[in-house]
Amino acid sequence: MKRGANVALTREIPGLTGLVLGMRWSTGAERVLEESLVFAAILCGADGRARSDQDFVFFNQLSSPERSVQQLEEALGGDQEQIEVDLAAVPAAVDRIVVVLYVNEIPAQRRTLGQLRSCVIRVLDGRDNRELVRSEELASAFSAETAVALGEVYRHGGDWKFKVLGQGYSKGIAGIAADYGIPL
Amino acid sequence: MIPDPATAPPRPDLPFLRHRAKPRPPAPTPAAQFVAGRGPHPPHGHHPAPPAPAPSLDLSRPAAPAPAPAPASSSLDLSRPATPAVPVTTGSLDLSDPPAAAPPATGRATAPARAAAPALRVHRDRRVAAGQQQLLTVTTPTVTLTRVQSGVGHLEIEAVCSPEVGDLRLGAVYQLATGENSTVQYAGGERFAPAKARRPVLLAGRDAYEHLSIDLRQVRRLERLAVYAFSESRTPLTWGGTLVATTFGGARIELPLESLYEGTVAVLMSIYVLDGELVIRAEMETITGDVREAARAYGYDRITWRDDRHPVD
Repeated sequence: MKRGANVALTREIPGLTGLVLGMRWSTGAERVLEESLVFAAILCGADGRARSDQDFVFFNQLSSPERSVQQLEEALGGDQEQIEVDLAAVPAAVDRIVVVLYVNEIPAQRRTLGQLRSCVIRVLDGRDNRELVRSEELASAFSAETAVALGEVYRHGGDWKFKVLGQGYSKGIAGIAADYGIPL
Repeated sequence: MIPDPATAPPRPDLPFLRHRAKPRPPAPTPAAQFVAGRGPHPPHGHHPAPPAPAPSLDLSRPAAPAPAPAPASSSLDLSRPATPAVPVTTGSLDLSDPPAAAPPATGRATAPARAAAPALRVHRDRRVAAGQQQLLTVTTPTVTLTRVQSGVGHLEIEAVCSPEVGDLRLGAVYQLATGENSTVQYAGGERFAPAKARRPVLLAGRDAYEHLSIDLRQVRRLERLAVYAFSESRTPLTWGGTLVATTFGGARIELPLESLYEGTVAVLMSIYVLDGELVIRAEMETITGDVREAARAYGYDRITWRDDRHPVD
């Protein structure tokens, strides 16, 4: 799927109850970048913003309070990181779930997403880990970005859709936090 | 980077029933045990435990329902005195939990059940929002960062002190989740923690002032640390200035240093990682001796020392 493309998940796959959002990246030999990358999900309300700090699901907060969105400590299969979404458990107030990748910045070691060899977001069926869709190669468009909004799962009518965003941020997680209202 | 399941640090704060991950045994961290008053106490005079009320730390178990009142048909009527009668298994209450474990007082001592518990806030402590300033004082010595504040970016700790204070230098004694203890300090010590790490968890540096930074991507590798200040020339310091901890979002946690007793070494601040949240606490204790005694006073007793200021590394 190209950037901006979307797919109607629950309409095309009846009986779909849960998703796995899988992140595949390759940093080559860049170990510091590898260890600085963070894959996260943001639960957004109708205004497109997180409702509180608990709507940010990442390695230090592995689940949203009602456990509709959970990050796995160990990804299963070939992904580096995975986040599971239980569609029925997503609160009605949550309109979309945005998945992001960012470089955790510390002063001495500046790394950017431009150093990534590969960066692909996949959507799997939560029941059998079957791949439903995957994004195009996103890494080729990165240069000085330190964060990217990869894609979003969102409500549309009574259905859930998935859209590839590929929106880069040169201000890193701070830029994403400002856009999506995450209280840092 | 996915940690090896065999060596990954335990997460007792998220006891979810997983269906796609491997089970791991619940293991409360020593810091959580200590702060909850269940672990060994450091061998010094006062109580460095943050004043988080102990009951609020044990949320792994849902607010335990009283033992099922015996023959009552309305098993939800809690106005009745909780008579410990033999439960009759006709009620609608879930009796899979043994009644003996129901009183919360004893339930706290048992291992946390991996039951489905709501993901509640663990600490009802002071918080700090982005751009805000919080002062640590004797009456309000702690601030707790959220899991987001504790896991995004880096936390900077800086000793903002004028030269009138003396040759104040900053350092920290730390304990990692692996149990490893050591110190990190810019002046005459090891600048990185762990030493020789390609990507250190703690980093000591000096710009306008001496500072420490914590790489919060690796916060799960950290268990606790205590920030100390010392006089490089071992002449007593005229304590003054402020220790400032700045979060990635720009919140400032400030600890004025004027009230310290005269001395050459003092422990200023401790930071504990409790269920993924950083609890920052003012310690403000002048130590008789040197860095070695400061480390021992705060229970960092698994360090071997080259002299009274530097560990064997």
